[in-house]
Amino acid sequence: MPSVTSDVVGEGFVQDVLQERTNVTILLGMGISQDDLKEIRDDIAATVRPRWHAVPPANMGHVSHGKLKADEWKSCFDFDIPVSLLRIETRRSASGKQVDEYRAKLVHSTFLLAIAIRWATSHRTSAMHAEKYTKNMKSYLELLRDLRPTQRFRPNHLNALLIGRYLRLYGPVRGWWMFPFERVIGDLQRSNTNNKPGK
Amino acid sequence: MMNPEKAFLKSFPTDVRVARKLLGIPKTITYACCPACSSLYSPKDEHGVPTYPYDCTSEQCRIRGGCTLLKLGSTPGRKGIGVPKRPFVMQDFHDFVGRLLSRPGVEIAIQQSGEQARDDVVEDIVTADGIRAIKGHDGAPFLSGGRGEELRLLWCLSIDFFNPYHNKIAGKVASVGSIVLSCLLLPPDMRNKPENLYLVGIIPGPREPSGDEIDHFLRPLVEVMKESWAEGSIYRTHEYPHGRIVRSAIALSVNDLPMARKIMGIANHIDKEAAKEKDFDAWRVRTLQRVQEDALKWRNAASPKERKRLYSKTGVRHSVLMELEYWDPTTMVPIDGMHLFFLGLLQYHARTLLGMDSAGSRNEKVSETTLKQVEDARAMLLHTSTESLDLKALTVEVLKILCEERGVNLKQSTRLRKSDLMESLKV
Repeated sequence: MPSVTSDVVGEGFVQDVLQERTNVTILLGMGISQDDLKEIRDDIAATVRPRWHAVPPANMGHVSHGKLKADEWKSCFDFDIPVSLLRIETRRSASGKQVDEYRAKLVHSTFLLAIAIRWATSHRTSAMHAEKYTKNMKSYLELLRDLRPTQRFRPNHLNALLIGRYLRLYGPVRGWWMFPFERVIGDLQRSNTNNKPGK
Repeated sequence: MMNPEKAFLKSFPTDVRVARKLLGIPKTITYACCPACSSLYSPKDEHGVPTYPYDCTSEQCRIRGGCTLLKLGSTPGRKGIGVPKRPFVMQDFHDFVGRLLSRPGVEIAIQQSGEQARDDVVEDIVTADGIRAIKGHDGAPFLSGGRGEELRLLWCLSIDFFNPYHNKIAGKVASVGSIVLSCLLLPPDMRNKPENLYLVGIIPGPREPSGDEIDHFLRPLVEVMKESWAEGSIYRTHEYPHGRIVRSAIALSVNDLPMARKIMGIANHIDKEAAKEKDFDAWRVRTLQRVQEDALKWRNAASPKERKRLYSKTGVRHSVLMELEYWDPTTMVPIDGMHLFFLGLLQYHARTLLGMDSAGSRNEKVSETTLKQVEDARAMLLHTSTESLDLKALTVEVLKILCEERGVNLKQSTRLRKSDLMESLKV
């Protein structure tokens, strides 16, 4: 990140240009490859999990599985994606391949996000939980800005910074999230409206 | 047939109205809702028959030249037949609370969680600080006031919109909303049971109402809540069969992001100057005082035009919930964790940052030659703008990668054409 304090006029500009140039080369290996995705899918299929853990679709990343449920996203990042990514990375470095800085950052950011959400969704909270969450979320967002300098933050990213405050005010997130209300909607959608009982 | 069976059959209701009475269907009020501006009109009782006005009298509809509220009948002059075109049915609050508190066990459970002390390690919302901050009518904390004789209830409001025609491909699209209250003082295992959730009403479709239209649907609820907080109501409960004063307050509201903004009366407003600040700690949260001042200014504005101007300037609008004296939109509308984390951040991370979408939908691996071309194009783009570069010479594959790198949102549904890609690169 270029420092904002620059004494010489124009220095900041030069730094910006340099930054732009390095970013462009970094973007070469953007995201994960098909092979990585296949490994993640294989891992998902091979994982034995507790029954309350929603199973992410085995063809993860393919258009055909449609939208993922909130719970499926949760279990993806609870376990599957971070673990698979780490496995892939360690195997790469063990096989003596060149360490790719961008990929390392990508894996790191995935872990920061998973950790932050883990702190936020804890079943008991304290001032420490809120602190740890905010710390991890800030590092994640900073890394995100580093990884995608041309992209602006989404409203969700900005709002994520406020969650720490609400953890302090209202305790564990399960007391004030929308899952129960979404269930009401599910019931309403399933109820029949054709004035014919039982059909 | 045996005698008791005969007696049973005789008493079996033959009319749906009798059945409703026997089953104790919750008491409801049906409002007539304006199809254009969503203003609500409560029924007037005329010899036991609910009647509604014929026309919407809101300023907006008067300017448009009138708007009928009722279904057209075959009466002479094609006058309305007293059935609302767009009804809004609201479940009676007192009826619901009365039923809830007369069930054995519920009242004691509420009483006990109200008496729980705050704790540094919070396991449930009832011991958290946030709901203790609410003031009662006498200035003392709402939750601990009137202990013993009075029962205090805290509610969590949630409004969510859904498509009643199920989200099918090529299916009908409409948006109706549910207004639901859950009683926060019930223990977690009872709180979200369907029989303990108060379904206030269904906001009729076919489209999602705007921010100030939502206010119309919340107004009846807010009126009841205002009275219940200030005066309280007497219910015959399970433990106090001769009556007990019960007061209620809305402690918080959880919604998805667009709805939360409507509830708060706050626009999706980003202070561009402040957002440039790289240090997250430099960002400030709105203060209650400023929101209240801005909201009051908006409400007292002389014309709709002036209101619009104020709204775009301050990003604050008056919402009906602000009429509740204890309401604080800056703290009482937490961002919903489910939407934010699971459907927001995680989805963004997987699809955009990890690029699962593009990795999954790309049929074959990117070939070496394409990579080479991408690299060349990238080098060229560094020196020249997208305008001057001959984008036509590049293949669709290359353009797609360039678009992705620049964070251009590509339409997922349509097949990508070269011209579209070129356009989106130039923007």
